Amino acid sequence: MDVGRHPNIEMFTNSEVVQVDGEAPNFKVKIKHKSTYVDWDKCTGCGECPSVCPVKLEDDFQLNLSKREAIYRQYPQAVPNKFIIEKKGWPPCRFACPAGVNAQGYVALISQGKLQEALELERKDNPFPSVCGRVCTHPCESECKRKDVDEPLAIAQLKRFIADQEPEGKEPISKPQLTKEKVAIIGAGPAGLSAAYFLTKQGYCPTVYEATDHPGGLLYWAIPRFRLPEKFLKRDLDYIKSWGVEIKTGIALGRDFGIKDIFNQDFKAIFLGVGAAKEKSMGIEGEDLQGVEFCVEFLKKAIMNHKTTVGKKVAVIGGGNSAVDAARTALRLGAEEVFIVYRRSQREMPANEEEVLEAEKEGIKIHFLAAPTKVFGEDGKVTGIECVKMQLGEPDASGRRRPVPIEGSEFTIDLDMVIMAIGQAADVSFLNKENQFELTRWGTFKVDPDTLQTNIAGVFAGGDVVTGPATVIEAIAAGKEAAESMDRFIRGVDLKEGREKKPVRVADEDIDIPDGVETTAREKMPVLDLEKSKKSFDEVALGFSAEQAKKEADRCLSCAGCAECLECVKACEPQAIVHDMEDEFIDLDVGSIVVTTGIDYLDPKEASEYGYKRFKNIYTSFELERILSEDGPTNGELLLNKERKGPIRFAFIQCVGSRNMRRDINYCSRICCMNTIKDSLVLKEHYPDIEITVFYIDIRAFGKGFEEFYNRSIEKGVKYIKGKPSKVIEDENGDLIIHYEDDQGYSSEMVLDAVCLSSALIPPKGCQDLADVLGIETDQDGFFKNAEPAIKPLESTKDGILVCGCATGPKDITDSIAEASGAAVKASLFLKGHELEIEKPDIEQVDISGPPRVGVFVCHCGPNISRVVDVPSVVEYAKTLPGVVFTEDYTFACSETDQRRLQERIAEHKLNRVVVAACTPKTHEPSFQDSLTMIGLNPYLFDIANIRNQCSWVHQKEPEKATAKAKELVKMSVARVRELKPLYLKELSVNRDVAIIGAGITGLRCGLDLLLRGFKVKIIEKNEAPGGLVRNLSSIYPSFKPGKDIVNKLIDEFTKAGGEFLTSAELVDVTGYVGNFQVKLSIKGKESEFTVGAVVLATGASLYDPAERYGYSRYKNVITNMELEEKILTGDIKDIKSVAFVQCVGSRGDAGNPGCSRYCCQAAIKEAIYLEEKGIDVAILNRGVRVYSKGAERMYRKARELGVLFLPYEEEPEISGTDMANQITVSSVDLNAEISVPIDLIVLSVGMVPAEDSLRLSELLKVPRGPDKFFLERHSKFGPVETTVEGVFLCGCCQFPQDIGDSISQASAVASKVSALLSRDKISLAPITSMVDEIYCRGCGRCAEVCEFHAIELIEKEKGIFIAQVNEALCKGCGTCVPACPTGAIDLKHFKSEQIEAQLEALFN
Amino acid sequence: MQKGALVIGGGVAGIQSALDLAHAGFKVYLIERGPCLGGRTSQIHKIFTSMDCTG
Repeated sequence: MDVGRHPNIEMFTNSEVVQVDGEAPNFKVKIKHKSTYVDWDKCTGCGECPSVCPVKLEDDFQLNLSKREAIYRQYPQAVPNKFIIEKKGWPPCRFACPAGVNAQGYVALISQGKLQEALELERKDNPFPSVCGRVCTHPCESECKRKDVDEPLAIAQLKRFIADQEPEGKEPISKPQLTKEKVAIIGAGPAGLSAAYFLTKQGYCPTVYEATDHPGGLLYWAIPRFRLPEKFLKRDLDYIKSWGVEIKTGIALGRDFGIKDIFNQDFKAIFLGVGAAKEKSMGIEGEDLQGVEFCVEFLKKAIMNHKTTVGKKVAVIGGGNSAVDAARTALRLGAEEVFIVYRRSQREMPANEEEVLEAEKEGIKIHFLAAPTKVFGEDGKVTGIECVKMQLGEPDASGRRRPVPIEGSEFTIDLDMVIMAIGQAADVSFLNKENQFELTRWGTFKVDPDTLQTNIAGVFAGGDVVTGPATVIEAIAAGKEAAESMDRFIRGVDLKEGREKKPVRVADEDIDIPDGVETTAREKMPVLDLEKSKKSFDEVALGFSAEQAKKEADRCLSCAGCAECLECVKACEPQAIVHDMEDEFIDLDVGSIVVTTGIDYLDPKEASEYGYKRFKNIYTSFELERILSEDGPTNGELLLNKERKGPIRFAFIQCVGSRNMRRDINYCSRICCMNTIKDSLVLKEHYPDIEITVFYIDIRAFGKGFEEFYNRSIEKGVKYIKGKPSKVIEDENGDLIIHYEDDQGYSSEMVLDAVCLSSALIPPKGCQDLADVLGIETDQDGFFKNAEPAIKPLESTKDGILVCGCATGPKDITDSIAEASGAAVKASLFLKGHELEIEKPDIEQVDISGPPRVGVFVCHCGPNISRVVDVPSVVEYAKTLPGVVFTEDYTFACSETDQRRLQERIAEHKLNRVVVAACTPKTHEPSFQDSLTMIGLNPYLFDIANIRNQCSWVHQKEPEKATAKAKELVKMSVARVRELKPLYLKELSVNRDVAIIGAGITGLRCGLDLLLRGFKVKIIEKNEAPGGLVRNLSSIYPSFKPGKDIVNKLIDEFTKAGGEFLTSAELVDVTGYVGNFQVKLSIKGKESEFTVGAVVLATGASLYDPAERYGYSRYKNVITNMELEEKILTGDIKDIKSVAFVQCVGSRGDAGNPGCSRYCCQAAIKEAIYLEEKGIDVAILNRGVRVYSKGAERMYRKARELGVLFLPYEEEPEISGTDMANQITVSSVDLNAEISVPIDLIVLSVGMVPAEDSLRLSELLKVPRGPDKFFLERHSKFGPVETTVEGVFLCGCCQFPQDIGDSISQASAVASKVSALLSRDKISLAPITSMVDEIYCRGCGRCAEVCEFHAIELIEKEKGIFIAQVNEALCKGCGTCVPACPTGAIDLKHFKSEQIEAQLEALFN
Repeated sequence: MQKGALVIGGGVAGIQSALDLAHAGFKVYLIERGPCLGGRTSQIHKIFTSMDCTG
C-alpha cells in the first residue's frame, strides 16, 4: 500500500510495455494499458458488482482451485483496490448468431435464477424469444465449445424456458415515448416486426402493413402448431405491439398503395420485409398432376383447417425444416405412410436435428441421396414417383457437397401424394411497375450489405426478400440492422460510419476449459407421448423444468469471460462500469529501466508420471500455499477428496522439472527445498499427527536460518528419502501409490493421501517478447542475461536497463528484495539532475480541542477474525463505551477502500480519536497512521486493539471467550485513546558522508555505487590493503577471471571516483545517531575522528579453522580450500594424482557456522574441474551437493561428466596415514557401503564464520547478532540490508555467508538505502521518546545505567545538582528507563502512566 | 519535465525497486501486467522464517 500512496510513484497496472526506443538516459517507452472496463476514478472498491455477476471463472489468484466472478479484484487488500472485468471478446455462441444475441449472457443469468433479467437481455437483440426458443436453427449450439467436453448446451431450449416463464401480458420495463418520425414497414414477418420493434426502442413511430389478415409471416402461416403453438407466437407479437408498434393487416403494397404514396404520407423511411413467397417447383415431368402440392401451401391449409385431405402414402421432397414439418403434418392428417426424399446425406440435411429425430420416432422414413426425376399419374392423379440415387461430389457454393446422380440407379415408389418442399423465391416484380429497384439475378433486392439500403434512398430491405429463403434469426438480424440504418437516415448522419467494425470472437486459445471438468449430459427436453403426439397438433416438446434449466445453464463454460449481461452496471452505484472501454496507449520518457518480471512455475502435467490433474489430491507447491492460506480456496484446510480416518499420509516430491536435462531445465529452482521444509512445518502444526515424507535429490536449505528449520522438521518427524519417485498412481480406493527406490536400492511403494509436487520455476510467458522490445538478451534458460554473471548481477546486456529478482533466475524473497534495492541505485545513476522537489501538502488540521470523540472500527480480516469472533456484537458493544460516537465494521480495514472509508467517517463524524480493532500493530499501524495524517488528524491519537492474534488466533476453539476478550481489548483501547496526546515529528540535519567498514569486494562495490551517486565515502579497513578474501581466489566462476583482477579494478575505480581508503585502521568508537555519527579510528596508533550520516558494515566473514580436525594440523597434505586456491595460483600441484574434498567442514554442525556456508560446494566443483582437467582424480565427499547459483548446475554436471566422484557421507570421514595422509574412508546409508580411497591431497572446504571482531563491532554499533553470531538484519525477508539501528546498514558475508554475486547485489542495495536516507537535508525522528520531569528527578542515574542506547546522560544543572537528560535522537522509546526510576520522574511519551492506567482501569472495573 | 525510471513488474522486487527510487527522490513509473501489485508473493501463505503473512 505504501507504493500506492507514494507521490513519486505512478502505477500502471493491467499494462504492458509495447515499444522502447532510444538509449539510456533517453528511453522513449510506449505502454499499452489494457482496458479494465471499470472507470477506476469512480470505482470505490465497494464489492457490490461481483455479488450480481453471474459468471463464474477459474480464479487465477487461487491458482484455479476455486472460482471467481468475471468482475473481480484479485484479493480484498489488492493495490490498487479496484475492480476489473475479464473480457475476451464475443463468445462463440453469440458470434455465431446472425442477430448477435448474447446467449452466454442469458444462460449465465438463468444459472443464477434471474429469469426476467435473462429475458430482458435476450430482447435487447431479439424480440422473438418465444418463437426462437422453439423454431430457431440455433447456429449458436453448433459453435458451443461445450461440445469439446461432451455435448453443446441446449441454448435454444433455455431461451424457450425463460420466454415461457414470463407471466402473460407483461409490459416492457422502460418504454420510451414514441415522439420521433413515422416509418413504414412492409410485411409483418420476423424481419419487418423486428425492424419496427427496434425503431420503437429509439422512439420512432413505425406502422407495419401486412398483406394477409394476420401478422407473423411464415411463423404464422407455415410453421405447424405442434412446433409453434399460436399462443406462443402471440406472446411475442403482443410484446412487440406493447412497445407501440402499429400493425395494419389486409393492406398490400403494390395492390393498395405504392412506394410514392408512403413517402407522401410523411413516412421518412421504408422497410421492405415482404419475404420470399413464391414456391419453387421441381421442374420435372408430372409435377402438375393432382396430388402434387407446394409445401407452404399445404402447411397453410393444414394450419387453417386440420382436416385438409391428404394421401395415404405421401412423399415430401426436400431436406429443410419445412419438409420435415410437412411430413409430420401429413402424418397427423391421417397419412398411413410418409417419407422424405432428400438428395444429399444426413450430414447435409438443413433441418434441425431434434426435429428430424422426432419425425423418425413418429415413423417417417427418410430416403437420403435420392432425387425425384419423374412423377407418374393416372387419370390426372399422382400414383408414384421415379427417383434416382445420388452420390456426393465436390462442395458447392454453400460448402455442402454437391449431389450427383448415379446413372442407371433409378427406382420407383408408388404413392398418392407428393409435397414439394424445395424452397421459395422472392418475387418483387409487382413493385417494379412504378419503381426501378435494382434486383439480383435471383430476383431479390440488391442492397448495400452493411446498411441494407436499396438503390432508392430511404428504402431499405431485409429478410428473405434479400437473402432468399433463410432462417427466422437471420430475418430478425436484418430487421435490427435496418432499424439502425433508418435511424441514421432520418437523422441525416452517415449510414456506414463505425459499422464496418465487427465484434471480435474470443480466440480459441483464450477459452479456458478447466482441467478435469466433469462431463454432464445435455438435458433432454420432455416430449409428448409418441402415440398421442402422432395424432395431435399439440406442441410436442414440453419445455424444461426449472431444475433442468438450471442444470443445463450450469454447463456453460463462459467462453468469453464476461457475459456482458450488464447486471454489474445496474449494481454499480458510482456508475463506474464502462463495457465498451478501449485500450489506451501512453508514452513515457524515462532515464533507466528496471526489469522485475518474476517467475512462473512448470505445469507438472508435463511430468505426467506424477499424475497431476489426472488424480485427485495432487497439488503443486504453489497450490499448497493457497490451500494452507486462511483466505485460500478451502480457508486453510487441506480438504481431501475422499473419506479418511487416521493421520493424513502426505509426501513432497522435490525437483519436479528442476535439474532435469530431459525437460531442458538445467538449473536448481533454489527455493523449493526451503519452501517444502516450511510447508511441512506448517502442516505439522496444523495436523500434529500428519505423516510427511520428502523425496529429494539434495536438500538445499542454504538460506539464513534454514539449516535449523531443516533439523527441526526432522525432529518433528518429517521423513526424508533420497531419490526421485518413478511414478504416482491412484488405486481403486482413491489412495495414491508412490513408486520409489528405497535406501537399499529396492523398488518400493508407499501409500499416501496427498502429494505435493515441488514444480520447477521457469521464466514467465512473454519474457522473450519483452527482451526483444527492450533490446536485451536472455540466457539459455530463458531468463534475462546479466552483463557479467557474478560481477554485474544487476545489469542487463544493455546500458541503462537493470534486471533483478527472479527475472534473472529463481530466487527467494530475501535475495530478490536485496537485488531490487541494488537495481534501484543503479537505475538512479541515469537520472542525475532529475530529483523531484518534495512538496509538503498543505492539510488543514483537525480540531482536537474538545472532548474525545472516539470512532471504533472493527475489522473482519476476511474470515481471519470473523470466523471466531462475533464482529457485529463487538461493534454493538463498542457503541456503549464512553466517548465512542461512531462504530463500523470492515472486511479488510487495511485495504485501500476501507481506509478511504475510514477517512470519510472521521471527517463526517468529526472524530478526534480512532481505535481500530484488527491485527497486530506491527504490520498495519503505520498505514492507519498515514491515513490519519493525510486528513489532518494527528497520527498518535490512534490505537489498535489486536483482536486477531490475541483473540481469533489463540482462542480458535472458544469463539465465545474470544469474543468476550475482543470486547475487553476494545474497551481498553478506547480508554487509552481518550488519554492520548498529539505528538509531532522532530527534524534533524543530516551529514551526507558515509563510512564503510571493510574493503572487501562488498565494501568496494557499495562504496563505488555511493560515490557515483555523489556521496563522499570513506572505507575503513583493518588490513594493510583493500581487497578482502576475493583477492586470494585463483578464479571466479563462471568467468574464470582471477579474483585479484576483479578486486583491483574496483579499487582503481573507487579511487578514481574520489573514494578514500583508511587502511590499517581500527574502529575505536562510534557515537551519535542517524545522520550524525561520530566515528573514531586508530590508524597505526594515531587517532582520527570524523562525522558521517550513515555507517555500513561490510566486514565479511572469516574462514573456519579446522585446527586438529581431519588431521589438518597433523598432515601436511591436508589443506583448506583457500590454501588450494593459493596452490593453484602458484602452480604447486604438479605431483598430485588424486584429491579428495571434504565438504561442510565447519558448516551445518556444532563447530563453526551452524548453517550452510553457501559458497563451498560451488567452489569445490570449480576447483575439481580445474584439477580433473589437469588429469588429477577428484572425489568430493559431501552432505548433499548445494549448487544453486546461475549456471552452477551445469558446472556440477560437467564435473560429473569429467569423472569427479561425488560421495555422500554422514559420519565424519576418517583420514589415515603416517607422515602424510594417504587414505580417506567414508560411509553412508545412501552408499550402503564403506569406501576407502587412496589419496595424495585432502582439501577441507571450510565454512564461513563470523569475523573475529564482529562481537566488538556489534557492541560499538549496537547492532545485534543472531544465534549464529552473524549480524542480524532488520527483517529476514523485507529488510535484509538494514539493521535495527537507524543509519547503520550491513551487506555481504557479515550478515550470512553468500557467494560473490549475492554479496555484490547486497552492496548495491545498501547504496540504495543510504542514498534514500541521505538524499534529504533533514530527517525526522519518531516522537515516542522518554521525558524527564525535572521536579522529581533526583539525578540518581539509574535510568542512564539501564539505557542500552546510551540516550540518557546526567547533566549538572546547578552546581552539585544532577538531572537526567534524554537525547531524543538516540532514544528508541523502549521504555526500559521508566520502571528503573525510583521517583517516577521519567515517563515515556505515548505510553504515559496515566494512559496505561486508564487501560488497566478499564479492564478491572 | 523531470525524467523518471521505469520499473517493469509489480511483484515484491518491482515494488521494492520503485520504493527505493521514490525514497531517493526520483519519479517512478511502475508497470504491472496483472490487475494489481504483489505478484507471486501475495499468493504465499506464510513466509519463512518470520512466518509473517503476506497481505
